[in-house]
Amino acid sequence: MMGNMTVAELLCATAGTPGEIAINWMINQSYDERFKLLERSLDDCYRRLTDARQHNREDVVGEDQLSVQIVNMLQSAGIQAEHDPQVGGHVDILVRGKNGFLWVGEAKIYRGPAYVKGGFLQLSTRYGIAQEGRDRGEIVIYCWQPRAWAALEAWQAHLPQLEFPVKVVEELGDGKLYFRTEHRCPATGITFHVRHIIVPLFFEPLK
Amino acid sequence: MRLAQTKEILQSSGLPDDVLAACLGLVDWIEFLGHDQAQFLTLAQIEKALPDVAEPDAILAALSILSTSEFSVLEVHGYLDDFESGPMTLADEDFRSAMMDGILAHPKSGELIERPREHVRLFYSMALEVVSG
Repeated sequence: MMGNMTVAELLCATAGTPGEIAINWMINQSYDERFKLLERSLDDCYRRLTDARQHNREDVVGEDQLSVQIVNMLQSAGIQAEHDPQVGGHVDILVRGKNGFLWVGEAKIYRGPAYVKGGFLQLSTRYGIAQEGRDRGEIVIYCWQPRAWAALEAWQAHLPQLEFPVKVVEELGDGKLYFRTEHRCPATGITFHVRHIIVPLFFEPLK
Repeated sequence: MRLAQTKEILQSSGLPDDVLAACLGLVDWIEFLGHDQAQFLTLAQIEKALPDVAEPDAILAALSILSTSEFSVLEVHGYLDDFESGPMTLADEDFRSAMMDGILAHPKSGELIERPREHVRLFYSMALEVVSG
């Protein structure tokens, strides 16, 4: 029972649950705080996909089903998330909110850097329009291959071959499965921020 | 926005069943209360109004959806429960500053309150632009 707990008591009582995210989502209303909180929530979703990789095998689920799982987890935490809505095309994961808040996630199965590039171009030139409160997005790469880190490294190395300049602002480091880039949004000329993250789903136990 | 329209959006939103049930229950409840009665809704009152929703997580998710989404019908606010004078509602700007920056002056005495999250409680109101029916 939540009764009339203080905010601190509520956060303590719901620690580590979707309820904790819901409370933080309600009380942190600035765009920056929302984006940070959304990333933390997404990280939790990706961890859960990885933890259930024996069920999330390539022959069992597809890209859409994985994205739907992420959307359901976000919705359970009180975040207005959608799968496949129409925003200049069919977006894999879309988060919207009051006052024009918008975040776009484009998901791709890892089939080499050239394939990921297609997703990045969709995110950058089709779905993502950099404006205040809607200038961030994410490339989510589902990887059933071993050594997900190396796959992401290959994608980062491919960036100079893109049709427009993309600046790496946070490198892929040891122990991290993401890097960040910035580029000028072709439509607005405003900086668009992208996190490129890989979700390791390789599962071939030897025993 | 009309509450009937909100219900339609919720029905087609693909929300998990427990969150959807809590959302629809809340919308029905605030529709029943009307603007005048739905100005100071505490978590205790909300839990009581949703006896069929067992999980606090589902209620919190519903409150978040209904107060932060594009189709929000609730506003979230904060109050201090003063031992002597009862609940003192905070101006929205003060509530935001208390939650995000950890800065809050007592509405009456002006004294700074340390760690405001340990003192502030949440309440909800029906958004002004919402129309019944």
